[in-house]
Amino acid sequence: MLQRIWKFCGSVNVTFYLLLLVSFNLAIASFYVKFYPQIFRPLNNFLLQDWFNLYGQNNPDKIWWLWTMFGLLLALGFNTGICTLDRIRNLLVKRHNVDMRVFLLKITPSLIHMCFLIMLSGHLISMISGFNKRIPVSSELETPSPIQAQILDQHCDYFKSPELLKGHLDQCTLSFKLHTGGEEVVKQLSFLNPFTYQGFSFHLSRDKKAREEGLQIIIKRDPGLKFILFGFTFLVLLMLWYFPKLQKNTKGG
Amino acid sequence: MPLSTVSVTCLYLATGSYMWSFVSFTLRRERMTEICFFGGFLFHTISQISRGCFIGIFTPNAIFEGVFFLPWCLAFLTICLRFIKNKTHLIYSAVIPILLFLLVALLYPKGIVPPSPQVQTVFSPLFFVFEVLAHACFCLAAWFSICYLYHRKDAAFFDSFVIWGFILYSIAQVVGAIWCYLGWASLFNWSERHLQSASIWCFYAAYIHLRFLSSFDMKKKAWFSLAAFALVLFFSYLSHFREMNMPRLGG
Repeated sequence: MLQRIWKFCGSVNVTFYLLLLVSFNLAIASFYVKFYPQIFRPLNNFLLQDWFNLYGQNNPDKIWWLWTMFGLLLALGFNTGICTLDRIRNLLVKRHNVDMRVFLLKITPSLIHMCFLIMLSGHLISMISGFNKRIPVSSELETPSPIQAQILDQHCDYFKSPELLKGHLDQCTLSFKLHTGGEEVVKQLSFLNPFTYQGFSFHLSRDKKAREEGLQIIIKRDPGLKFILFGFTFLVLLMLWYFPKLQKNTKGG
Repeated sequence: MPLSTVSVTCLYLATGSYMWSFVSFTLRRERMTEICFFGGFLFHTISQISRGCFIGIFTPNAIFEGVFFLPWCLAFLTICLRFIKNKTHLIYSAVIPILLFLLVALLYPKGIVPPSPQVQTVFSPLFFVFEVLAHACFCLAAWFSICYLYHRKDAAFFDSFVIWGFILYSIAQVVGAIWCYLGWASLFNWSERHLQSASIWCFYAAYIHLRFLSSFDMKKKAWFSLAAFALVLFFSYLSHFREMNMPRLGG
C-alpha cells in the first residue's frame, strides 16, 4: 500500500497535472497582481511574513491564490523529489550494465529535476529570509544596523545628442560614505551597477511615478539568490546538452 | 534618405516580397516561392538593422522589439528549417503566419521607445533576442501542429520546435533574471509580466513531460502545442498593444 502511494506521488502523470495547475494558478495570480497593485506591489519590498502582516491578512479574499500556489509548488517539489530519488536509485542499480555515455544521458533528467528543486528552494528562501528595503534618496539614509551611510554627491546625466533623445535621462550616480564601526569606505552607485558591502547589495532604482528622477536605493540581502541562479543556469545547460543528444539518438534509432 | 524612411520602406518591401512568396506558394511554384521568400527576408533584415540606428545612436532594443522582430525570427527559423529538411511546400507554408504578424507590424507605431537608464545593459537586448526567438519557435510549433492535424503526418517535427522553444525561453528567463537583479535588485518580481512568463514556462514544461505519458499521442500533443501558443499570444504578444500608447521617438 505504502509502495503504491509512494509510486503515485512520484509519477510523471502527477507531475504533468501539477505543472498545468501551477500554470493556471500563476495565470490567475497575474490578474490579481494587475488589478490590485496596492496590495501586491509591496510584496516586492517586504519579506513574505512582513507583507502578510501589513497587507495580506486584511485581504484574504484577494490572496487565496498565494496559498494554492504554495500548496501546488510544495506538492510539485515533493513529486519531483520522489521521482528523482526513484530514478537515480534504479539507474545506480543498473549502473554496471550500461555504457557510461548512456548512463549520463539517462541520469540527466534527474539532474535537471535536482536543479529545479534547488531553484524552487532558492525562491522560498528569498521570500522569507534576508533583508529588503527601498528608500528614497535623501541626505539621511536609513540603512540596516550597524551600517551608516551618508550621500556625498548625487548627479544625473541627460542625453545631449542626438536631437531626438535630448533631455532624456541617461544615467545617475551617487557617491556614498559608508561606515561600520571603525571602517569607512566611499562607494559609487549608478543604474545597473550595484555594489556589495557587508553582505548587503545596494542598487539604484527609480520610482516611475515620481515627477523628477524619483531615485531610490534598494538595500538587499538575498540568501536565495545563489540557489536560484545556480539552479536555473545549470538546468538550462543540462537541457542544452540533453535534448540535442536525445534527438540525435532517436534519429539514429 | 533618413534611416527611419529606409527602415519603414524596407518593411513594406519585405511584406510585398512575402506576399509574392505566398501567391507563388498557393500556385505551387516552389522556385519562385523560395526566391521571393529570401528577398523578403533580406529586406526585413535591412529594415531591422536600420531600425536600430534611426534615432541617431545605436539602440539594440529597437531591433529586438517583439512586434517587428517576431516575423523576422519566424522567417529566419523557416530558412534554417529549409536547409535541414526537404519538404519545401510544407516548410514555406510558414509564410502565412509570417505575413499575419508582419501585417500587425505594419499597423503598429514605428517609433522607438526612448532607452531608459535601466535598459542600458547587454542583458536587456539578450533577453529580448532569446524571448522572441522562443516565441517564434512556439509559433512555428503551433503552425506545424495545425498542418499535422490537417493530415500532414510529415509535420511531426513541430515537437522539436516546442523543445527548442522551451530551451530558448528558459535561457531568456535566466538572462532576464540577471537583468532584473542588476536593475531592480531582485531575480523575480511580483508583477503581471513575471507571473505570466512563469505561467507560460510551466505550461511548456508540462508539454515536455508528455513524452513520458503513453496516453498522449502526437495528435493530442499537437492540440496541446496549439493551446500553449494561445497562452503565449494572450500573455506575451498582446502585451505589445498596451505599449502602443507609450511615447516614441522617430518613425
